[in-house]
Amino acid sequence: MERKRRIKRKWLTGYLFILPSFVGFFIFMALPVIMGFGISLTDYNGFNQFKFVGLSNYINMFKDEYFLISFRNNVLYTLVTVPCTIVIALLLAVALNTGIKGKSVFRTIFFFPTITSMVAVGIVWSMMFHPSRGPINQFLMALGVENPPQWLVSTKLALFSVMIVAIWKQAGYYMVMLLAGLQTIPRHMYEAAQIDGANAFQRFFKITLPMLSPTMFLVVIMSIISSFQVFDLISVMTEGGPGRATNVLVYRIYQEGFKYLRFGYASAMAYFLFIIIMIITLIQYRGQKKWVTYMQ
Amino acid sequence: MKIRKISALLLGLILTCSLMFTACGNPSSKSTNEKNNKETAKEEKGTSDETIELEFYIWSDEENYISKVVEKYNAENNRNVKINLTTIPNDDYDDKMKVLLSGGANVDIIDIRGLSQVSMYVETGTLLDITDYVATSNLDISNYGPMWETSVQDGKTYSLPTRTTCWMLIYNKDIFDANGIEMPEQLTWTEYGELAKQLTSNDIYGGYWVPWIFQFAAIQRGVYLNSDDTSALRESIELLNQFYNIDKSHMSYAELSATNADYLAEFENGNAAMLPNGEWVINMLLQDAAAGKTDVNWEVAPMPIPDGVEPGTTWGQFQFAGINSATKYPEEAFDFLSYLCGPDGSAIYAEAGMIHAYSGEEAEEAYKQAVGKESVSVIFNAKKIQESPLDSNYDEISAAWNENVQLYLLGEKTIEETMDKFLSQRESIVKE
Repeated sequence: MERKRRIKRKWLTGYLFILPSFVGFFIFMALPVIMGFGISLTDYNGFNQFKFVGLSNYINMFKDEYFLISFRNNVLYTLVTVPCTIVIALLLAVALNTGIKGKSVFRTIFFFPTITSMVAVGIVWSMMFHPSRGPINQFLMALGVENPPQWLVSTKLALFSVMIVAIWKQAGYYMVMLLAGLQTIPRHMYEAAQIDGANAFQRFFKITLPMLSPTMFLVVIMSIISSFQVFDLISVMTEGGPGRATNVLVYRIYQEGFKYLRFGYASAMAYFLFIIIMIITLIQYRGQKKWVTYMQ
Repeated sequence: MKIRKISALLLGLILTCSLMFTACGNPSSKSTNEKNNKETAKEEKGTSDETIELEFYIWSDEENYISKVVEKYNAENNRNVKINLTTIPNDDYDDKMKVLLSGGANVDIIDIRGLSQVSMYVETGTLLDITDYVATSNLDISNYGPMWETSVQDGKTYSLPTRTTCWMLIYNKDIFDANGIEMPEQLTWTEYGELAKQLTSNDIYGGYWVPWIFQFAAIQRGVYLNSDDTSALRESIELLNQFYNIDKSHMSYAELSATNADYLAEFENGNAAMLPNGEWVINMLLQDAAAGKTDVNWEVAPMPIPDGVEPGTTWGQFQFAGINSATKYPEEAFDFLSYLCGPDGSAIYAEAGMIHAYSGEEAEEAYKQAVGKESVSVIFNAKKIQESPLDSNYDEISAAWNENVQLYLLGEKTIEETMDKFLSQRESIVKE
C-alpha cells in the first residue's frame, strides 16, 4: 500500500511540475487553435459581425485567385529554399568536420546570420538588391553587364531574391545541427571502409549520409515548416509585390485578416496552412521507415 | 566558486532585465510621455481628484501640431478633462488601430486617415453617432466647404474633419531661374511633361512623381477607380508611363519602389526641379529649413490639369477624427472633438503651417504669415475634388489597381493587359 502511495505521489509531483507550462500552452496555443477553427466557420470581422457560415469560407478559398497565387508562390518558395539550404548546410558541415584549423571560428561565422534580426536583414539586403545603387548591381555593371537583373522590382526575380536571403540566413543554423550529427558518427566505420578500399564519395554516400539521416530528418521537417511560415522577410523586402509575385500564404492571411477585416476567411486560410503542414509532416514520419537508419 | 555563482546570477539578472526592456520598448516611452503630461497638467490645475482622462490616438506625422492642440486644450478646458496623446508610427497606424479597437482597448478619440477608413469604422460600429452633438454645438458646418457633403453618410455624422489636404506643384525656383524659365500660371499635363523633359539633365530630374496615387489625372476629371468609364484611369497611368519610362524625366518606378527614396530629400537636395505633392510638404520644408537641413528656394504653383478641365482643379481629402462608440465620456470627448475640429484647432494648425479643414479668412491669413510665401494662396484658391469616394470596397479595389499598375509601370504588362486584368479583378471584388 505504502509503495502505491509513493508512486502516486511521484506522479502527482511530476504533473505539478508540468502544470505551469501546460497551462501556458493550453491558454496560448491549444485554446486559440480550437477557437480559430470555430472562427473559420463564421464571417467574423473583428467587431460586430459574427454569423455562422459553415464551410463556405473553405469553399470560397479554392475559388479565390489571389489565394491560389499565394499558395503557388509558397510552394515554389519551399521547393527551392529547402533543398538549397540543406545542401549548403550539409556541405559546410562536412567541410568543417574534416578537422581543419579554425573550425570554431568558421562555425561562428556561418552561424552568425541566424542570430541577426530578420527585419534588419531584410532591410539591408533590400538596399543591396537596389537595381542601380545597390552594391550587387554596381559590381555587375562594373564588370560590363549592361542590363543587370532587377532583383526585387522584377516579377520574375523578386521571389528568387527573397529566397537567396532566406537561404543565407538559415543555412548556418542547420549546419550546426548537421555538424553535431556528424560528430556522432563513430570513426571506426570510416577506418573500416578505408581499409576495404572505399573512396571519398563512397564513404560519403554509404556511411555519412545514412548515419546522418536522423538529423537530416529533423532538419528537413523544420525547414519545410518554417518555409511555409515565411512572413517577416516578405513584409520587409517586398510587401508581396511587385504585383503579386511574392505574396505568400501567411502574408495573404495577414492581409485578409488585418487589412480587410475578414477574420473568418483568414482563419480558414490559416487552418488550411495547418492541415498542409500536418500532412507533409505525416508523410515524412511514414517515410522515416524507408530512409532513416537509426543506430542500434 | 562564490564569485562565479554571484557573477552568474548577476549576468542572468541583467539579461532578464534587458529582455524586459526591449520587450516593453514602446509602452515605456509612452509612460514617460504620460508622466510629463501629467506633471505639466498637475502644475496648472493644482490637485484635482476628478480629472477625466481621455485617450487620443494619432499617427506619427500628425504629432508636431496635434500635440500643441492637446496641450492648449488640457490647459484651457474647464471640465477637468485631460487628453492623453498616444502616437503610433505612420505605416502601422491603420492596422494597429483596427487591432486595438477590435480588442476593446481603452480608446476614446481616434484620428482617422481618410474617408475609406471612416466608412470602414462606421460599418463595424466603432464610431459614435455625433449628429445630434454637432447640431447643438457652435460649429458652423459650412466652414468645412463643399467637400463636407461627400463625407457624410445617410445624413448621419460619425466624424469631423481635422486637416484638409491639397495637392499642388512645388518647384525649385533656382533651377527655373538658371534655365531662364518662368513658371506659367496654369500648366496642362502635356506642358508639364515638356517642361520636365527640358529641365532634365545629367544630375537633375525634371520632376519627381511619388507612386502613391496612380489615378491622379482621372480624379481631376471626377473619375474614380469604381467608375464605369475607365478611359480617364488609362489616361492617367499612360501619363505616368510617359514621365517614368519614355521621357525618363522622372525617377522611374523601379527605382522609386526599390529605394523607398525620400521624396522630400530629393527635392531639398536639388535633384528634382518639380514635385507634385501635398501641402504637408510645406510644413516639412519649413521645419527642415528651421533646423538648417536645407535652403532650397521653393515656390508653389497650381497642380497641372488634363486638357479641358477647369484651371485650379486638383485633389485632396479630409483627415478625420471620431469618437469611439464604446467611450465612457461621450460629452467630454465631443467637447474636445469640437475644439480640435473647430476654430480653435484651426488657429493652432495655421500657426504650425498646416491647413485645417475649418476654413476661414483668419486661418488663411495666419497660414500665409506663418509660411511667408505669397504663392501658397494657390492652396486656398484651388478647386478640390475628393481623392476617394465613399465605398466600402475601395480599399480592395485600390489594392488590385496598384498591383496591376505596378506591373505596367515596370514594363512587364501592356496597357491593355493591365486595364483588362484590373477590371476583371474589380468585378470579382464587387461581387463578394
